[in-house]
Order: sequence, then C-alpha cells, then structure tokens
Amino acid sequence: MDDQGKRIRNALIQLLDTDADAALIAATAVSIWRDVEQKLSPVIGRRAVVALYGRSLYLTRVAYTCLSPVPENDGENDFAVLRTALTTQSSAQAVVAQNALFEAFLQLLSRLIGKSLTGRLLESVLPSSSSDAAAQETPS
Amino acid sequence: MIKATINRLHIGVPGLDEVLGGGLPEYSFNILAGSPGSGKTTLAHQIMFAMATPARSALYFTVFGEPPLKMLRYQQQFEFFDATKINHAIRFVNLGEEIAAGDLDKALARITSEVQAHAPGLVFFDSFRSVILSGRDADQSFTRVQRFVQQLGVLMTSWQATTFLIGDYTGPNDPNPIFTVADGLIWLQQNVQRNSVVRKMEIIKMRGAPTLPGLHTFRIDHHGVHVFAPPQPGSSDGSESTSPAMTRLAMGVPRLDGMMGGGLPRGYSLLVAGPSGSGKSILAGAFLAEGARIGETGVIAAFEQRPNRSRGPILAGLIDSGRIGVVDTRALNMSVDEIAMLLINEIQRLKATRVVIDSLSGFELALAPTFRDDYRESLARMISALASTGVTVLMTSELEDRYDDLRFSPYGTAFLTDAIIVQRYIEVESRLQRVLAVVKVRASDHSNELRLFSIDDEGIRIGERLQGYEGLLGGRPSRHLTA
Repeated sequence: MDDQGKRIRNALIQLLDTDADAALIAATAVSIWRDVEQKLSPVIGRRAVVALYGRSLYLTRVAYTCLSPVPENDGENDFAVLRTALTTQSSAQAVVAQNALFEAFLQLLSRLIGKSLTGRLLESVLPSSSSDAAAQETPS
Repeated sequence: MIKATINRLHIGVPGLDEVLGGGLPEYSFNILAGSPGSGKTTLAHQIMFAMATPARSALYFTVFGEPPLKMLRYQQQFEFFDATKINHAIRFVNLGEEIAAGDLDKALARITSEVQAHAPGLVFFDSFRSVILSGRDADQSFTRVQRFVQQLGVLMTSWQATTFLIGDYTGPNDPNPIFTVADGLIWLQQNVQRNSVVRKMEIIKMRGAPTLPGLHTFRIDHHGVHVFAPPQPGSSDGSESTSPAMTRLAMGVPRLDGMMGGGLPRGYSLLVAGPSGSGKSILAGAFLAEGARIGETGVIAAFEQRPNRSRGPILAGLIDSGRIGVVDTRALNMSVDEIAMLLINEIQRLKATRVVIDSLSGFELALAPTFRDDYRESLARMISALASTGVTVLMTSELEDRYDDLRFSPYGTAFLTDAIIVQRYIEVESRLQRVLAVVKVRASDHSNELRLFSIDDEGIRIGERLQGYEGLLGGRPSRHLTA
C-alpha cells in the first residue's frame, strides 16, 4: 500500500518537473479519483467510496484550506468541485493538497481493511499520463 | 446407458465434507441460511477462499447484507482470508445500485453480464434475502420472485457455476420460493440453553449426496468454521479381541495384570471407578507409562487436571517428548462429537494404541448443557468410535462411596465398557485404607478378590486380601469370627 501511495504521489510531483499547470494537475487528480472509484466500487460499493472520500476531505481540509470549498459529497458529482479548487491553486500547492487528500484516503481505507488488502485493491490504480489527462479533460 | 456424473467438490471446511457425505455436488445451487450471527458469511468466505483458484474463480455478489467494507474488515481476521486471491481468483461485485432500484430484471441482467465476463466456477450472493425483499418491495409478485430464482438457477447451472445464496430466514418451513429451487439447504443455528450457546448445522437437503442426518455442532475460531461430524464406527468393533488369541496389555501396576487374568485385552475399554483421591488418575498414568515403556504411544484427555498442574514427572516427561499426546479440553461448551474428533485426530497423528479419558465426570462437565440429556447415547457412540480405531481405552469415573449400595459408575455407564476396576475406601482399626477389585473383564477369567492397595512415590502397590474381615464393601469391616 505504501508503494502505491508513493507511486501515485510521485507521479504528480513529477508533473511539476514538466512545468504542468494547475489545470493539468487537477485533471490528473480527478483521473486518479475516478480510477480509485472504478477499482473500489465493485468491491465495497460506490456509496462507500463516496463516503470514504468525504471523510478524507474532512480530515484534510483543516491543514489544506484550499480544499475547504469541496463538499463531502463531491464524489457523487465526478469530483467537479475538487477539480475547480485545485485549478485555482499554484501547481505546487495543487499537488501538495491532492497528495495529502489521497494519503488520508489510503490511511483511512488501510485502517478499515488493512494495508495488504488496500494495496491489493488499488494495485492497478495509475495516474493517467499528463498528456492523456490533458487530452481527456481539456478537449480542444 | 451412461448416467450423468456428479463430481463432488472438497469444500475446504474441516468436517463439512463428511457431513455432506463426501463433498459438495458440482454445479449445485445452494442456500446457506440461518439467523443473524449464526456464521453464514464466515462459512461462505471460508468455502470461497478454500475453493477458489485462478482456474475455478469465484464471484461474490454483495447486496444489502453486511456492508462490504465491514465484511472485508472482519473476515480478514480469519486465517483463511488470503488477500492475494482478491481480484485474481476472487472478485467482489456490489449489486447495491441495481437492487436499490428494486428491479429484478435489471439485477439479473447485471448478474448475467458479470458471470459471462468472468465465467466463475463459484458464485455467492450475500445476502440473497435482500434481493428477494427488494423484488417484493417493488410490488413484484411471489410468482415473479420465483421466476427470478429459477432463471438464476438455470443461468448458474448452465454456466457451470456452483452457487451459494446466503440469507437470514426464520425457518426451513418458510413458503420460500428459493427453498424449492435450491439443490442444497444448509441451515445454521445457535442453540441457547441456560448460559451456554452452541452452534449447530443441519443439511436439510442436498440433492445427489448421502448427507449425514441430524444436527452437527460446529465452532468458529480464528481458523474459521470447524464442523464436528459424528464419529463413524469402523468395520472393526474390537470383537476380535474376544477370540482365544486375544493379546493383552500390561497395566503398569504390579500384580494388577494377574488380577485381570493376564492384563487388559487389547481393544477393550476399561472403567476405573472410585471416590475422589482413591488413585484413579495414578492408575491411568501407569497404564500410559507402561505403553510408552514398550514403545507404544498414547493419548490423554484430562478434564480435571489444570493445564499447569503436574501430572507426575514420568507422565509429564512423556508428554514433553511427544510420546503421549494431550487433547485440549479447555474450550467451553464442547460437544461429544468435538471431543471424539479431537481424540481420534490425536490417535491418528501419534498412531496411538492407548487412550485415557480422565475422568468421565469432568468430561460431562465440559459438555454444553444441551448435550447432557443425551450423555449416555453420545458416550456410547464415542466409545464405539474409539474402539473402531483399535485403541485400548481407560476411562476413570468419580464414584461417591456408598456403603449401602454397590455401583460402579454414575448414570449406568458401566455396561458400555468391557472391563471394570473399582476402588473404595474402608475403615480398618481407625485407619482409612484403600481396596480395589476387578469387577469385570468381558470374556476373560479374572480375580474376584478385594485387595488392599497403597500409593507411594513409586505408584500403586497392590497388597494382599484383608484376611479375617468381612463386610468390606459396607465400609466398616468387622473381624470374621471363626468357630
């Protein structure tokens, strides 16, 4: 599980090296959450994924005020408010906030079902490459 | 004509294959039913983790039963839970959205699509009752629900899936459409009597399988479910020991073999009865130690000794060296079948020839209250099962000294055994003395003397007959006056 979290966090950090703007960071973040939802929903149900995401937001918002506008039920709406919130930040701030949110989610899930099973369920979650995400999220 | 072959699958739950009569019929459509907390989901998971392989994968449909998040949290506490199988040999599919809509057609379409996509060999629905209730909530008729179940049954069998529907049901006599369609109906229950709870399982129906009838106890611990199938008497019932060429075992107590006509015939069951402190356990220990001395192994089920209490240096040494196995009898609310299974497993593991149950009184106390009414029947079954393994059994029995009543065991269990030794206290010249007698050795000559005996560091020492006294069994012998 630690490897998964690290791999996904690093993928976003590496985007900074390519001078990615906040919009691309936000699009990549949303693609990660979509993937997480897709992997977990068949197993624990979509409502449970939305609830865990909401709880992670609640735990992260205190330290990362840029996430304050994001409501707990954002997962029901394709993470739309998260995308907006991250887009309004600097690239570095967007990466830090998203990574903190993702880390909180992983820790929460691990506490409930264990690190091993969390890692197993999320082993194939991959952030889309920056160009894929950009193409998908910002159609020309 | 070549008939269809029904393959039997090893279900991977200890004891359940035996209760099912040799395994679960392949492609069967089964219900795991019972009240909340009876162990349905645990049993289903254990079956799934044991049976699922990449070649025979499992689909576990979760509906509105236990939330999957909590189910995964708790089920992984069991040893059988193998996270590496998830998303490979085992896939979970949440049907919550489809079922929430109350549309059985939509649910069936989703199930069909998942089954076609993954071609599983095993399919589970937990809880299936939620599926049925959602159909009724949406004002769908009993007939519609029955049709849905039939369609599901046909789909699963056609796709060669062995299926388990898990659900809470009030009783097997419910007019429930799924009970008719199902090939197998496994009912779990928790039997409460006084302050004890005992889990029991009944195979109410299993098409094409010679299941063992009756209620079978099971236990759930960190390993998962363990079913205790009743011990099956083997073809050998020890009757060959009545042949003239019977071999005899030395008892390990000097002079006792002579009193028994040359030792205890191999394969016999011996009851040693006597009051507290009379030396029954010491005699039992000598019996095991004598076996070990000549290279035999033994098993002891001790119900009275505390685990950390010394059993005597010789016996303790033999236990430490693995020559004598100890059956752990400390679990609460045991059943006779559970104790019999523990004994037989240990006998087979050690290839033991001598077995001690010390004592029957403690054994009875270890049983859950619900089994005490059937104590004699169960004990008879256990002794028969032990005899069928060919071992020689020594059982001790606490017997209150009654000087106006000659009896050898409580509850009339004496008739179950092949041989009986009784020990008693007597008062002679203001001293408490011990006497013993061989009451019975089936099909064998034996002594009829009441012999004095004492216990010292070397064990039991059998003395002579108390000469010149009469009325020993009355507890207060008097001098025999010769004319």
